[in-house]
Amino acid sequence: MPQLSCKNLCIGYDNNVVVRNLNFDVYSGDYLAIVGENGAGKSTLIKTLLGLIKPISGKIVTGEGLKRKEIGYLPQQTVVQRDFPASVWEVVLSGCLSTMGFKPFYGKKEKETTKRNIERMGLTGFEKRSYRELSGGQQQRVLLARALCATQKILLLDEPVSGLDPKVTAEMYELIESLNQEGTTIIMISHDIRSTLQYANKILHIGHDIFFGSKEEYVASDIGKVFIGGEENGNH
Amino acid sequence: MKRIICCLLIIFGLFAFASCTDEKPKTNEESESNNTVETKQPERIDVDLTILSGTVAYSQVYDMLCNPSKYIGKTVKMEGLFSVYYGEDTGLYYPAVIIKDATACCAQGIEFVLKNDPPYPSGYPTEGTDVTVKGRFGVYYEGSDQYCHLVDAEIL
Amino acid sequence: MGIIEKLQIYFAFPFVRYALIVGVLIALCSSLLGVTLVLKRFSFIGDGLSHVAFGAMSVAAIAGLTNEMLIVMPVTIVCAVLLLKSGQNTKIKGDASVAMISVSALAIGYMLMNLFPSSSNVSSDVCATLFGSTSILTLSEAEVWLSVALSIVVVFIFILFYNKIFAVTFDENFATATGTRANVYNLIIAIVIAVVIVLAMNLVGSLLISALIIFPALSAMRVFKTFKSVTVCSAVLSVVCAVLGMLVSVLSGTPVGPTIVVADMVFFFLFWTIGLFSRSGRRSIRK
Repeated sequence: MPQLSCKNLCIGYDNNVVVRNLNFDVYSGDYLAIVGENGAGKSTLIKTLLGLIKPISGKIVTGEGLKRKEIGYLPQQTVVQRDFPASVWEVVLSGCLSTMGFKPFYGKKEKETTKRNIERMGLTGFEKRSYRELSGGQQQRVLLARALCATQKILLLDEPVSGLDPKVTAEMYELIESLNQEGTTIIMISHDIRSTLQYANKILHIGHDIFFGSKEEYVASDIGKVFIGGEENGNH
Repeated sequence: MKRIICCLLIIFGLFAFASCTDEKPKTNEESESNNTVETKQPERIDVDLTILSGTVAYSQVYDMLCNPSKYIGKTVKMEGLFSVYYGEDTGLYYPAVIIKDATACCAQGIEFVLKNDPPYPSGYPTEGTDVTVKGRFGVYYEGSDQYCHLVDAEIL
Repeated sequence: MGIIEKLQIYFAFPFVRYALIVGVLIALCSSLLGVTLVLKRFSFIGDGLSHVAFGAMSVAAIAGLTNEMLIVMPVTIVCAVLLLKSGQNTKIKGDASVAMISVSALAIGYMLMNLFPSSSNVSSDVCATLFGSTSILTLSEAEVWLSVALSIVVVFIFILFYNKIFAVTFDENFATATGTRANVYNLIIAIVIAVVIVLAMNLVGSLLISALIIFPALSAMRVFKTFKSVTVCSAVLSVVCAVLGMLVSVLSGTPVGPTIVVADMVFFFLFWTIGLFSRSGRRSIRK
């Protein structure tokens, strides 16, 4: 039974439809990459999946006991956050907020979850460091740790490596891959087609045409060939 | 942080409870000794506005005008601009001392009546000059309106 | 007369004591909210809402209400909710709508007070409301108790919802996505801000409220780097400046509101300088 599935989903803003009739299923442990041209509607899809935007029509169904708020999220960073006075500990701890309900203060359980996820992301020793003084890659790892505090089951990542240099990008992909190996479902938007093909097992292509299927099917398909060829040649 | 804020709250709570008692202004001890040196008056001055800064003097006058019952019978000494208002409907003159607030855009005044009530302008200074007045605080009525003034006043 | 003796005389007056208590509480509340507002890039809201409150106060004065709060508080709260809700995705962007409402309210308020004067000296009433020269020293006992009660409620709400306020300020999208009801907390923040601004008008007047909200937060952020330390520093700094400002104005006869703001400014420059030195110190260590 799929963990997350979309049926005949139409998404967009203010009744302007951006993508029509989207159908796809995500199973536990999948690594789904969402690719497509700029402006095709990838971020819109992620925001709709997270409940930030209402779908224009169609359904999003969660299965296997997945609650909507158990979907972790690694957003693109906003300008506000780069300058925000907050320690690494405070940022990661805030990921536990959704599990708290009406309790006003974090308890021991939340603090241990935070500590564990900071270790997983290799940020031990950084707890008291200010978020705004970290490098881009470190900040992304902090946000990833925060997302893990919210959930272990499924993560949505919106261009997690944009703006990072190659070495840090590679480390980030390794980290995400290890999370996937540990059982977390990954749904990722990325422009980096080569790395996407290296790690993902399913591809969702959004654009003029929609494609959903395994990686192998994508590489063999017409859409895939055009897109991969275009990306590799630097055509967008 | 919780502890710090709790401490701050406790301190402020103490502050708040400290204001529970409704004390009358005690300017007697300190101001009395100063005034006996300055003016050699045998009378005690209960409310001396001349030793206060402009901001507090203005507020004190406001308090006197809003809560006159607290001050009836008290001897008041104040300084400010002398001003006279002529009431068209009553045909009377109302001499007063005007105090301006710190931004000089708002002004409060207290009327005063000299001892033995001489008719204006005899005994009264020129309008617009600085004047120091001492008198006893009281209220009077014109129709149903209550007004405040200093009676048995002297110009110092 | 030494300063201590002067202060002893002044503290004998109940209205001076009331002013200090209420001033401290208001400064505390505005600084706590200031941190959130500055970080959400809503620093101008103080100005906007205070002008709305001024407009509402004019209407209340014309209507002849003895207790102006009946009109001023609800109107300000409604405007706060509308303005803060329009933050993220609206047709009229946040700062333009605040500017429009703010300027209109100010103009309408002053017009109404001139067309229908309810007191003999309109310009002085306006001036006192705008600049708060002595309004804090002329509070009635009822107003003092109201301010104390509201301030305690505000501080209590802030402490209770501290973690949620942090999450919603740092990353509203993430908070909503993971199931936190960010809209509810934004609403609570908006209402609390409106209450604080209406209270703060008594302390520093309409035109200077923004200073009370943003200066302590900005000063704290020059030097401190975690949210908790910024919040605490902002609160302490705001209280210190309020007390200092009030004492100086009481002793030397300057208007209360501007004196407090000057104190805030002085501390801002102080903290900014400290921040510069500590940053360059860190850079030389890294080298």
